[in-house]
Amino acid sequence: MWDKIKDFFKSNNFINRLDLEAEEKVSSNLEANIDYLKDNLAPSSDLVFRSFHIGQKKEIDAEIIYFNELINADILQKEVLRSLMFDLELDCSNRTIKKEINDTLINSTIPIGELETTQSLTKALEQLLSGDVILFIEGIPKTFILGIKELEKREVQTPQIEAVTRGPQESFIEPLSTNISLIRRRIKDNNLMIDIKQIGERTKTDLAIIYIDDIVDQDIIKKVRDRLESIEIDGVLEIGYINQSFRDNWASPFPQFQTTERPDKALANLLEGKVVLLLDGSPFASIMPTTFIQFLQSPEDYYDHFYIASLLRLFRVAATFITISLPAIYISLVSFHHELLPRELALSLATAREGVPFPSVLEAFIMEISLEFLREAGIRLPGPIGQTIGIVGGLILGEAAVDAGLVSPPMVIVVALTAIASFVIPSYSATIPLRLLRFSMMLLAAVFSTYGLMIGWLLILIHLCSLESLGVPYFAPFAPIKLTDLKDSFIKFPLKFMGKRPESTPTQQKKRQPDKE
Amino acid sequence: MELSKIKREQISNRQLIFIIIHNAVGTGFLSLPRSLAEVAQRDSWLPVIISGILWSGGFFLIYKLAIKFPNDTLVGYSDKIVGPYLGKIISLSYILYATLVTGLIARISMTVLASVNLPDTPIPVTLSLFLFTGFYLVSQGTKALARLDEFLFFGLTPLFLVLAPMAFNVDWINFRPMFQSEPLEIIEATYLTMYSFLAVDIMFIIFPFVEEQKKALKSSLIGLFIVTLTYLFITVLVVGFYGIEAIQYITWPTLSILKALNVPFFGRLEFFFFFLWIAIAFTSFAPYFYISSYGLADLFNFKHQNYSSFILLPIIAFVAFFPKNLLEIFSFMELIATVGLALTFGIPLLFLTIIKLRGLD
Repeated sequence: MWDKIKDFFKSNNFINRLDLEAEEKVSSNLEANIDYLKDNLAPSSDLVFRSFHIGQKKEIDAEIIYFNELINADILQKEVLRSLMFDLELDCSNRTIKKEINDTLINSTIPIGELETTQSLTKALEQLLSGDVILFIEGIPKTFILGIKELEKREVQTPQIEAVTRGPQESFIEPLSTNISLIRRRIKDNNLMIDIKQIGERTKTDLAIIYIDDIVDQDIIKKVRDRLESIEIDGVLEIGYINQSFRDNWASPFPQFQTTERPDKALANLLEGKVVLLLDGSPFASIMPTTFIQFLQSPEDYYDHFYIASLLRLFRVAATFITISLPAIYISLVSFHHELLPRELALSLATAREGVPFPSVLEAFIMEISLEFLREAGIRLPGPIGQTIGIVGGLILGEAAVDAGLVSPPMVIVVALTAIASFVIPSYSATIPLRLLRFSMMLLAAVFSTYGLMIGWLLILIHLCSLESLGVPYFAPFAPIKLTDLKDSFIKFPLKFMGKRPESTPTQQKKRQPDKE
Repeated sequence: MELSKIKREQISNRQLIFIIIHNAVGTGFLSLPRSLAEVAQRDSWLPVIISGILWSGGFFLIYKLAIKFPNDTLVGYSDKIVGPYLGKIISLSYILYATLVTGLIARISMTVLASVNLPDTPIPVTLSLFLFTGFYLVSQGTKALARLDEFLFFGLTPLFLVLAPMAFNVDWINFRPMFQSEPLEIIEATYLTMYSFLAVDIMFIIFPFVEEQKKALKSSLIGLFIVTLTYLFITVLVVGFYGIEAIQYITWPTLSILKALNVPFFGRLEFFFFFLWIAIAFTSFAPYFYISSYGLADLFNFKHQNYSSFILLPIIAFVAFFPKNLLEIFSFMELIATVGLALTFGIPLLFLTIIKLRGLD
């Protein structure tokens, strides 16, 4: 009974969907094949059925089917149709015609690199949907799939979000093939593995799992594959969909996987035994597993001198601290603990706050929220107008608010400093949870002052300690402490000392270079 | 305990060291020098060393017992050794003891907080935040506890090293002439110091999660050594700084000594250290919450420790509110610590004897 109900729902829900389990074979009858396709495809206007005759004697019927916006029409006419219609000479009285057509077509008639045959109609249909041309010939129980896709794409551009002063200026773009070429071009390793899978019940988007086979830990790869299998979704539009359904802890505000638009960063992570996911249509690669400290590292660090890199990284750690807690510290000092401040500073703060009508908490909230507004507005508006927002919002509004006595100048300094600090962090996706946490810290500080601050930090630390990314501790190398990994964490040692891959991510080869005998 | 859970929550031996250190160094840290100086006078450093040695005996006993049941907590093996009824009673009394300690540590911490930092905020309010944080940590499991302790040890210790230069201010006359106290006084002082070291009993619950159990004794002794060293340092510093007369009028001498720290421009640095102390108090409170929570979950076969934490939260809150003032807190603490001493030495001795007699090896 239960099974019947299940079947009923199944048949109703998926009535228009391809049932991939039951494979339809290509029949030798041309009409039957075309009827199958017509039955299973919505009658779209961009779907073309073109029937013609093969060979100079025009005796054999054939049909090509394609979506005319997805293919290169030029190649189709000049290379495929012309050669089939005019160049092919066939003796049709011969009984071995089937074999001959098969061989000749593949070997000598159609000058196209991507040409394969299949006996499965289901596969042919899939390929047709993904932009290939399929060809049926009367009397042959096979389909020819011609790969002459032509998709619109933009040029490879300089990275927008992860801009660096020094380092490669290329970034990923939407088509998967271009992105794979950007990676493959940089690493000529025979163990580089690119495994393309389709994901999304309807969109059937290509997803490439990229890793270096003899470095990556097999458990991690298995976890990636298992989680991919478990994704149930009808459409995947951006790599963020994959990241969200992959997470170890769905409730955490922290990003558990890194996304990057830089091929060099993706490659560096591949070399450290990580897995890179690329999704067709998304200009971001997803790197997994990820540790928290990676969000404070920029590719430049590795290209620059290690003193500078270490200093910058320390600044970024400080910036993280400031982004989360500076307004909260200010609130707790001003409204609870004047005695903690040095006398002169306390006096000047008190003078500055004279006449401000709001308690410091409210003041901080007003300023922080308007700053977040400014930031959002700046992103949405086109470039030239975005600058106006900066001037109107930042300069005029801030100045006027201070002049009107609504907020105190130290508060403006605190808010501005916090905003600047949040821009210091190289990864945009990492600043989002920090901004979120800042507001909760402000609330805690407003109620519990410095005790609230300490508890807030403890909660954040506990959360960071408990997080894992694909089974790798998120807060490594600090907790658990990995001494060798500390060399490349909040400081950076010279390249000479980095002979080993990071320990926090398990790998097959611990050393980057095998010992030279 | 289920094997899959043990595997999922495994901690390294190094993490065990930090858990023990953080568990032991907590609230006792603030008042120990005073109570020592009251009883042992000029020999106040001696009881610290003696109790360090005594506790290593405690570790040895528990280790000897626990190594025989590598996949069981106290709850598991007490059933096996003395039978389900008596075993459950013993486990339950141990869990009850841990719950009482949890509540008292939370209360002491909040009392100190109220007296130093937040005099106007009602203790129930600060306490509920403290308990919530503890609840969150316990819900995240053994690994989170171990990693937090590990991180805080490396994060906080360097900051407390600023106390080191204060050693120059120690007046050694406060310790001379040596060995003048009566043996009875030393014994009493040792007894007092033993409370501050109460942390050994975490081995009853955490042992199955330790990665290399054979080396667990070594790790725990290293932890104990560092704890002893810390207490010794604090005692010598504080008693030497204030002298045995003045110290008896100061409730939290370790906090007060920080007032003597003078760094130009930064006004009152002791508050900064007080905030860090909140983290230290928390890490000494959380393991007891963890013990009672995991113990109860193991006893009733709960799937997740959250269920037992929920049951325990109101009890802990009740315990924390029970004492009316600081004096009552201290007398309760003495009482419970005595029970703790009896349990940590008594249970392994009793069980080991029964194992010998019944030939359970």
